[in-house]
Amino acid sequence: MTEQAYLVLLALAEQPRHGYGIVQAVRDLSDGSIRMGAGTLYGILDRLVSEAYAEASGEVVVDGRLRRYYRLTEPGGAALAVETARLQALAARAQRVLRAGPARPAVGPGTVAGLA
Amino acid sequence: MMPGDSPAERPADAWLDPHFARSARFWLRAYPRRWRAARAPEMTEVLAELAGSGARRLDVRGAADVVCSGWATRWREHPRPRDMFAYRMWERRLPGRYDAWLWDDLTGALYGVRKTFPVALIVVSSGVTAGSAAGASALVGWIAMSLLLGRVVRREAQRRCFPPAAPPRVLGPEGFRHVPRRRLAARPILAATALIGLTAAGMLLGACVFATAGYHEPGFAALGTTLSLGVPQRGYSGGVLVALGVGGAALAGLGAFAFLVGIRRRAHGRPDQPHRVLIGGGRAAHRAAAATIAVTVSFALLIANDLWLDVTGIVAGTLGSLVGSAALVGWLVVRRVERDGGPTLALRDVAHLADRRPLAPEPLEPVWTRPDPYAPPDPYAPPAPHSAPRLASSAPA
Repeated sequence: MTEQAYLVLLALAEQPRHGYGIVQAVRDLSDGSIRMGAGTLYGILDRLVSEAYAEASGEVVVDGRLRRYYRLTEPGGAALAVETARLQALAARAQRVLRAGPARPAVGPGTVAGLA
Repeated sequence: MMPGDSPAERPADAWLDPHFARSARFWLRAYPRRWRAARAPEMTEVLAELAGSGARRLDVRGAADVVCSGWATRWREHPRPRDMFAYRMWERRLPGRYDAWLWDDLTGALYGVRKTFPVALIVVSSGVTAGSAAGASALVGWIAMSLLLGRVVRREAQRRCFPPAAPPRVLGPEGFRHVPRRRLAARPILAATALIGLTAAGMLLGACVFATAGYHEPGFAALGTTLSLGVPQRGYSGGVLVALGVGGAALAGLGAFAFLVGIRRRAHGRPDQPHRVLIGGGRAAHRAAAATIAVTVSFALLIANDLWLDVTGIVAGTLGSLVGSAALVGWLVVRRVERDGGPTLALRDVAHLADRRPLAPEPLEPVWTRPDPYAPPDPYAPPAPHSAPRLASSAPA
């Protein structure tokens, strides 16, 4: 699952959203680092819908603007939970590595001098 | 799906800038037709909201994103090369999962050209082995054959791939989106045809007056050598040219008038066409007409300077005079009919009325989409079993 697809699922986990709402939510969730275009968004939605992770929940016309809402499905929620757990485990491993500090280099000036 | 649910049936979005809508429609052509039928209105709204108020066209970044995603969608849904080859070469039906693609192919423009693509190999080999003249002749022959046979071949292929008596497994009603039909508007098309035809007649036949009879061999210096292209001019007299231009125009004009007589009476009380979008007369059409006229003027200048065959000017000029004057009469008649009131006429309506066929409201055009995954769920449908979540990245390392 790509980062963008993960963020889209996460945006839908909060509440059903329309296309522009998803783009805004992804921007907020990524702290402004991901600005998704409409083409990218619909490519991701295509894949998520075909995998039954998301589905259209209804259409609303507000002031002449067509808004089709999407919501997370049960398999989508499960996939999101699995992916979140994977990221948590990865982050925990990364924390352990960082806490251990920089390792002594296997090959370096000291080693060469010792050998000599 | 309930009537009225289709985005195509909703009123046009009044808040959308028409320039922006046109720009978005242009770039969205990167997506397959079935995809556009299902999702273009919704995506246009998102594009407009992302562009912000006051935007008159899609910016470069947005357009590139749409084009890349559109072609990715096409690529994802395209049949495998092996299936595709068997379909084109031996008319083997594509597997059912490609029904949506197949329907688009069978109903899209230039089906005849796609269907007869193996002939392109003959065209190329003729060009390579027998020279450019033979290649050009083969190319013209291929295009003419494709256009002539396209309709018949398409109908036959539709019957073969989607037989009318087939069970709804293939063509279930949920597989269609109903969209308005796109028809050519009569008045702008006739006006453009008249303008182009009469301009071509005047310029080309007029240029032939200046062509001097005899063999001309002008030289062009290129890459240190002098190239000469022989142009045998026939040099027609002014009387012949005037007779061709004026006589052709009068003949075609009278013929068109006789063809269209009574159309005003028959068009009275014609029905509204709510499920139709008229095209033609926009900026793109104006540009195309201006480009055609510019090409005509260029050829006229070449003929007048003995750099191009004047016989081609005679043929094209006479043709322009015939078509242009007939179109001019048609335009005058249509303008008169539309001033009487009633809905705007499409070119198809004019043909129907001239043929004494009654006009009826056209239904929405069914455009195949795959069973639309974005369609809101049917509350009466049995719940679909969900597949277990599949995540490549969640597999144990």
